[in-house]
Amino acid sequence: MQWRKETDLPSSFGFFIGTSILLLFASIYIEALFFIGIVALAVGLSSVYYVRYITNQIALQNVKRAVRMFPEDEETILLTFRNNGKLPIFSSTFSFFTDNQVSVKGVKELANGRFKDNYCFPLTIMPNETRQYQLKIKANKRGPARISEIKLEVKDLLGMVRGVMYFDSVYKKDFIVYPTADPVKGIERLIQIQQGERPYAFSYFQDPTLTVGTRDYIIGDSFKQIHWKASARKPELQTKILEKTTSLSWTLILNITTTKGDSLSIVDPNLEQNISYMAFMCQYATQKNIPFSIYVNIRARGKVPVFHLDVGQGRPHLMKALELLARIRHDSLITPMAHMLSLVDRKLDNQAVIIAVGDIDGTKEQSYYSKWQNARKPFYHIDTQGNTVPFRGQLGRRVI
Amino acid sequence: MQVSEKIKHLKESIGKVIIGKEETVELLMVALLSKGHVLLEDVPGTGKTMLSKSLAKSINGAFRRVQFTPDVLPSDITGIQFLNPKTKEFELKPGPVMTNILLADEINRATPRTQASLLEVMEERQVTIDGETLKLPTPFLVMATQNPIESQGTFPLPEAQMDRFLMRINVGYPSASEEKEIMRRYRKAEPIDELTPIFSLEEMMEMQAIIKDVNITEDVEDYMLEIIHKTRDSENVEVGVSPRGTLAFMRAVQSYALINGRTYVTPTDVQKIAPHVLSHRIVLSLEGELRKSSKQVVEEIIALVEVPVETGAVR
Repeated sequence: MQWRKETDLPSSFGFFIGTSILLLFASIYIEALFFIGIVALAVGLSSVYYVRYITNQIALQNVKRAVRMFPEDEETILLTFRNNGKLPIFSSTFSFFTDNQVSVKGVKELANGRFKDNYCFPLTIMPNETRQYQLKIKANKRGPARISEIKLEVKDLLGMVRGVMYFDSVYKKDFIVYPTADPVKGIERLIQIQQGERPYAFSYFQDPTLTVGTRDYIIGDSFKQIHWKASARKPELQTKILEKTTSLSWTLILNITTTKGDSLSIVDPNLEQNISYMAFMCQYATQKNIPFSIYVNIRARGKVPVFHLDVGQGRPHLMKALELLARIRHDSLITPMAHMLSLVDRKLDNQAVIIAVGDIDGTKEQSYYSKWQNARKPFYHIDTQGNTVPFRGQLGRRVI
Repeated sequence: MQVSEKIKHLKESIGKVIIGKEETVELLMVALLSKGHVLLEDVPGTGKTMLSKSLAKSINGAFRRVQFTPDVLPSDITGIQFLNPKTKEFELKPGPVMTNILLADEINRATPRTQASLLEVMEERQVTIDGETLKLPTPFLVMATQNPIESQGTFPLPEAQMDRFLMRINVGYPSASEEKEIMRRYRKAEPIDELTPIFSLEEMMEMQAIIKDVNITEDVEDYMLEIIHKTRDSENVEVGVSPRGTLAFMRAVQSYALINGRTYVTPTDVQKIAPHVLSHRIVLSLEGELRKSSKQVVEEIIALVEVPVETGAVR
């Protein structure tokens, strides 16, 4: 069942039916009233029948689709209704709520709430007809949004009987408004090439698991490097040519909270700005083919108990990263920063450049920062002005 | 027997193995008639490999399968010259490309160098081994499969390679009723074992020749070109469809019309075929890719371009 239905019989309808029954009784004395009474009763009952019939015949197509937008983008979606019945649907009203990360253009706005806005439009569908209504969606601000609390109000022609249908499942249109990207100054300093697995033509290092071709054997080549399968086909031994590789990856850490001394953490007032810096770095990393991973101190379910994106690169990875940033909520359950850093420390790639965005002044976290500093890991902080600052630690010593 | 009837027969035959994928089979036939190659793309377990095997069995051609892995070398695909110790002469050993249907399974698991070994094979239908060039058998069709979700240990196909595929087809999940039918049909038997050839290779080549006679009016030509040019001008697109793509598009709509029993192309054929032939040939801009898939972009372009109608008809 797609809809939960309620039929509302207002007191005016009771009065109408009551009057028609009274007219039928009165017709014992005045015959002319009989016809009026019968017609009135028939109209009243058929109104109830019409509304109950119609509410069983309407279907709303619910196809899964994610609409991805940047703030100020506009996108059109189609709402497809089907009237499976033999009676037309007139004077009905379709209403719904949207999270205010998006707004709907060209339809009547019933209410404008703090988190959600209510919209409605009239609906008319002929018998056995499929009708599509276009909704122009405008992205307002970062975040995910959905169409929810879908309600269809059906009335009979006289407006006496009202059927209300509540959409009983989740409407599968997801709107994801990506964060805007604000430039980070000095980001080029974060590109530091080291030994690793990333293909790089001029590297000294090779990945022994990645054979890219063969060449004739030269005395001195390692026995392990002989490509036996290729050698069997040729008159002489063949040596594997391995992919030359390097390492360049970023570990992006976002702290959504700020700590005032030892007191409780609160959500950082600069969170939106920090997310914009994160978005910029993700886009920059994608343009420069730098793999990156993200950690955000928000509690999550799964193997990694924080908001987290494993290391990856390319455009699909950027899409996931921006979607993760879009889904950060101000009222999320927070994981203490020190807990998250312990997790990052365990998973950290030895060669990765660590970039922290947000508050790094919490006292409990300093032990991790010092550990990375002592291990000479490249560790940078993006300050509130968007500057790339090498972490100096408590002694004021530069990491690199 | 008419081409459309034969195709219907083929669809029914493959439908015994791959349930509910009539449209996909139709598109595969479009590729085969257009002398094009197909990239089947979807999540694991949707029947990509089974579909390829079924088609090969139905057209009575030679079939070879190569499982692409990171250590497959270009010579494993194209072939090698080797020294025969008995004759003490170099002998040519052609690779699995010497076939009618080549199933390149999980093509994106091979390194770019190995993927590139298929470039000459797909475009020129010939293979060069140590300077010696051999013509491939006709008809020749590469059916490649890839899983678009998995990125670990895979190498995305370069644009030049993508452009050599006539179509990219998403196989998709079956509906609940189709899946029930799959459960029932596979409970006791392996339906692919019962498949018999529907076409001979000669018939296939005859049909490939016939499609060139399918008529395209100037209005439809202009319609197709407008779609192509819009892909080059779209704000979401960095690189639009190439002239090779235009020719492939033309041939594919001709084949589609013939399969549907017509000797002329309609705008509906163009609309039907365009997303499959054009979407993998465009490169989206960074922002464009974050907003939409290439298929959505092509569908939007189709919706924007005015559809030609017959003279005298009301627009």
